[in-house]
Amino acid sequence: MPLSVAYNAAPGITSSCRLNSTHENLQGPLKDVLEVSVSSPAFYSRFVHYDDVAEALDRESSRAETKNRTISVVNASLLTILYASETKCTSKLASTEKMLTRSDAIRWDLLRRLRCPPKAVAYPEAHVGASQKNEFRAQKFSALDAYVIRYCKDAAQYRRTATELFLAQRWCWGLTFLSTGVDVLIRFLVLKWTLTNAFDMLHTSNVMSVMVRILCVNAIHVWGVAKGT
Amino acid sequence: MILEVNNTFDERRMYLLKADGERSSEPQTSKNRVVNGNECSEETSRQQEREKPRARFSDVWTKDFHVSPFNSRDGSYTLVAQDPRPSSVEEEVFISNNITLVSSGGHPKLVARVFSDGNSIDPTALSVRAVFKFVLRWGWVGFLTSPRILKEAWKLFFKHKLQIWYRPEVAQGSIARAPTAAERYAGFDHAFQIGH
Repeated sequence: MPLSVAYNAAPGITSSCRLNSTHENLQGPLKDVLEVSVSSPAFYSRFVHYDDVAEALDRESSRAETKNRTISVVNASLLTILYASETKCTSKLASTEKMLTRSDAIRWDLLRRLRCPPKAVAYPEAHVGASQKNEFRAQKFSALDAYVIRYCKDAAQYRRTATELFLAQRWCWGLTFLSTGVDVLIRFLVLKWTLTNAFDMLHTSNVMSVMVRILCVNAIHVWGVAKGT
Repeated sequence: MILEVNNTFDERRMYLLKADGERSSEPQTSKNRVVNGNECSEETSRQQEREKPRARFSDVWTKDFHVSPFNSRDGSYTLVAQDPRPSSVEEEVFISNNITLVSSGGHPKLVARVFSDGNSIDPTALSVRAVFKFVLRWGWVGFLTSPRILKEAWKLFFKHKLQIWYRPEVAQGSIARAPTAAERYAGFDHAFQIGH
């Protein structure tokens, strides 16, 4: 079924657009328009936490308490068409994973394992019971992950941003600057260790030992590569 | 009148308030004050200025924007503002704006007033010394605003034990804060192209 989506981005993000489906039998103008307006930029950092687009849009709009809503949706009944497309996209996941190199597969796997629910809302949802809270399914790639891996050149940037958000949510109370601070601290400690110990170790005749120690000297780069930066 | 409200979370709300064009014929402050010409001090002349009939603007509108953690997003505002423009060249610019926050229960909760307490200053007519004095007197005020807010918030929370209202997401019609670096990147065009 043909669909027209009017997407209004949050202020400060210049990607508002109108998307029309390229339906083969499309004749004349599209009558029904699904309008999605992002009222708060918090939506974007929350959206990456969900592994399901339908669940994300649902929980951030109609199912959310009015004071917690980060988006508004007009003609929400048309979302079902969008969800059908999402299912199609997620079904391509198996082949998506084959597109990754071995090191990238490990990094994406880490993102998948780190995925967690978004930050708790300020005003508790009256209708969300414990069973619904447990609905959140971690350990799964989202449709967005699959889309980014398949079609976006800046997939690594997306992966780093999402991983940073998940790490911050899990261990730093959702504060990304704290997780960045931990990263800086690790870099500092590695450098300090390198400067105080590793250079002294180079005075040895064993080739293997020299190789290992050269690696230690470059420990900060090893940390960078491991993180995927 | 276009009224813009900003909060410390970098969010904004603009209200378009409709004028009723009322011009007050009666003095708005203390009435029928007799002033002896010889004893007319600066204060009394300012008082006279204040009492001149000027166009007055007033409106009431619903509060739908989070401003303070000590007030809910409900209730209403009442604004009474005096037209600051002088009607003749002899008159001075005079500012007088009153905003009252009324709770959802209909009780006045907070009254804020901004008003002129001296004659207006023409910056082009000031000497270097006067500019220096002015900067010394007022230049630091902006820097102290945040510490002053925190000090008052500390008192309201710890001393007066006021209830805290967490920041809700902005309602429709308000302008949200600027996105963070992660949000700006995560504001991917990708998000809504999945089904395209």
